[in-house]
Amino acid sequence: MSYTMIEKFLKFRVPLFLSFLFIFPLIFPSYYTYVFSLIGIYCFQTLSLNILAGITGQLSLGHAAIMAIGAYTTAILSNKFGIPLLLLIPISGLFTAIIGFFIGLPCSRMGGIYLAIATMAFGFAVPEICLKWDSVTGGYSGLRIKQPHFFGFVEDYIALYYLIFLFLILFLWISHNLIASKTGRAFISIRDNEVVAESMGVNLPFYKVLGFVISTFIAGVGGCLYSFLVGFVSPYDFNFWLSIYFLIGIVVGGMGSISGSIIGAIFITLVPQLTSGYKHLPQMILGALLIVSLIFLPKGLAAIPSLFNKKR
Amino acid sequence: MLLQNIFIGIYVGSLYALGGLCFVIIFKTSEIINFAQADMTMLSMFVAFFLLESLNLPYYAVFFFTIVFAGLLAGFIQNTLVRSMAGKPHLSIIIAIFGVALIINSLTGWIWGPSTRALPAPYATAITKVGNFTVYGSDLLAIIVAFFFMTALYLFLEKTRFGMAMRATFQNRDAARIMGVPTHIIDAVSWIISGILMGVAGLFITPLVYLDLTSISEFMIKVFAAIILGGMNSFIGAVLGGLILGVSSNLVAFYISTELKSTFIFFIMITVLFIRPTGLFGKKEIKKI
Repeated sequence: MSYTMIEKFLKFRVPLFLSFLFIFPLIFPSYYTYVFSLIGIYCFQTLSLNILAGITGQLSLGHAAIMAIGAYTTAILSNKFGIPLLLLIPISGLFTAIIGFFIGLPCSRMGGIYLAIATMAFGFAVPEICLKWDSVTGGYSGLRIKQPHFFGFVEDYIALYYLIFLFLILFLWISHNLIASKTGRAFISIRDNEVVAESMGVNLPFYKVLGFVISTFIAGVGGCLYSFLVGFVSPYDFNFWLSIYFLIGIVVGGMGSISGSIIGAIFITLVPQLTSGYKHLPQMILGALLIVSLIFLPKGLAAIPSLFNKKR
Repeated sequence: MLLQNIFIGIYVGSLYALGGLCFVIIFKTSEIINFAQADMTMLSMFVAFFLLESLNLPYYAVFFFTIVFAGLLAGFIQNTLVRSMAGKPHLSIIIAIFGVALIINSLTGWIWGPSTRALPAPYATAITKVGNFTVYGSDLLAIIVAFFFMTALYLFLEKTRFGMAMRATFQNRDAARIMGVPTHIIDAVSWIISGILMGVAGLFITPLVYLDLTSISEFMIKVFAAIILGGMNSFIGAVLGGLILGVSSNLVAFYISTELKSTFIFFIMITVLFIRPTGLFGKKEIKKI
C-alpha cells in the first residue's frame, strides 16, 4: 500500500466507517453487536468527560455518578411510569443536565485539585444515595429495566444498536461543531489559562457551568441507553473505578479530541472484554496504559496521525 | 455515655489525623495528592497479614516490618513514577497516581483474592473501666501511638536540620533549591514518611474495618474529608480536622443514626469545598501567570 493510497483511504474514513457501522450488526453475531453497543455507550461517557475535562479543563472524577443518574432516572421512570424509550432519552438527559448545572455552579468557583476532589466526593455520594434510598432506587439489589420493543423489521437488539449509534453520531457531530464555535473556543481558553481567558472577557462561571451542563446531558443520555442495553442498574456498577476508567479512556485516547473519545471508549470496553477470563488483568493493563500514555503519549493515541505529519 | 463517644471519636479522629498528615506532607512538598495512598496502605496491610499468618512472626515484628515496607513502597513509587514525570503538569502526575492505585489494587486482588481478612489489634485484650466509662486498651494505645508519631514529625520538622530543609521546600521550592537544598531527596523522604505514617494508621484501623479490597479506601475517603476540613496545606489542619471529624461523625452516628455517618462526612466535605475550599487552616494559593 502506497502512501497516497492510505491518504485516499483516510479522506473517506468517515463515510467508510459509518457504512461499516451500519452493516455491522446485520452480518456479525449478536454478541459482537452487544459489545459494539457497549462501546457506543461508553463513547457517550468519554465524549462527555472529554468535553468537560479535555476541552474545558475541568477534571471530573465523578463521571460514573453522572452516568448513574441518567441510568437510574431511566430505570425508575420506565418501571414506575412506563414512559417509552424515545421520551426517556431527552428526559434523562435533561434531568442529568439539571443536576449537572447544580454541580457546576459551586464547582465553577474551585480550582483544579479542589474540583477534582469535589467531583470525586460526588462520585462517591451518588452510589451511596442509590444504595440507601432503597424505596426509590431498589437499594442493594438494583433495578431491572424492561427491554424495549421496537416496531420494525430488525430485531430489538439491532434496533437498539442503531439507536445508540444514531444518537452517538449526532452528539459527536454536535461536539465537533461545538469545539469550532465561539463556545468551544471559550472552553479551550479556560482550559489553557483561566486567568488570561477571564482577562480577555470570557465569562468564566457561565462557560464552566455550560460545560458541565452539556457534558452531563450527554452522559445522561448515555446512561439512559445503558440501562436499556444492559437491562439492570445497581449502585456498584457506577463506582469510583468506573470514573477512573473513563479518565483512562480520554487520556489514552486523547484529551480534548473527538476521535480520542472514540478510541478511548474502544479501549476501555475491549480490554475487559478480551481479558474476561483473568479477573484482575484488565485493571492492571488499563492502569499501566494510563501511566505509559501520560509519560510517552500525553496527547493520546488520537495524536498519532499528527506525528506522521511532522515527518513530512 | 457522651464521654465514651467523644473518646471513641478521638480514637478514630487521631487515625484520621495521622492519615491526613500523610497527604499533607506530600502536598506541601510537591503539590500533588497521593490518591494511591489507600491502595498502597491496603497492600501494606496484606503484607502484614502475610507476615503474621503465613510466617507467624510476633506482632511487634510485623508492626515494624509493615511500616518499613509501607515507607519503602512509597519511596519506590516516588522514585520511579513521580520522578519520571518531573516536568509534566501536576494534573498529569495526579492522574498517573490513579493508574498506580489501579495497578496496586488489582495486583493485591490477584495475589490475595477477594475474601475478607482480619488483623488483630495491637494490645487488644486490656479493658479498663473508669466508672461508667470503658476504655479499650487498643483504642488508648492507638491514640498514644498516633500522637507519638505526630509529635515525632513535629520535632523532626522543627528541630532537625533536615526538617528545616523540608520546611524550606514547603515554602518555596525553587528558592530552596538555589540555596542548596536537595529537593529530590526531600521529595523521596516526604513520600517515605507519608508511607510510614500511613502504615501505622493502617495497622490500627484495619482491626476495626477488616481487610478487603475496599475497606481501606473507605477509611481514606474520611481522611480526605478530614484534610479538606482542616486544609490540605496545613499540618495543624490535618490533626484538628481529623479529630473534629472523628468526634463529630461519631456523635452523629450515635445520637442520630449510624446510617447517616458517611452521609454526614460527605456533607461536611462538600460544604467545606463549596464555602471555603482551603479548609479551616489552609492558606489560599496565589497564582502567578
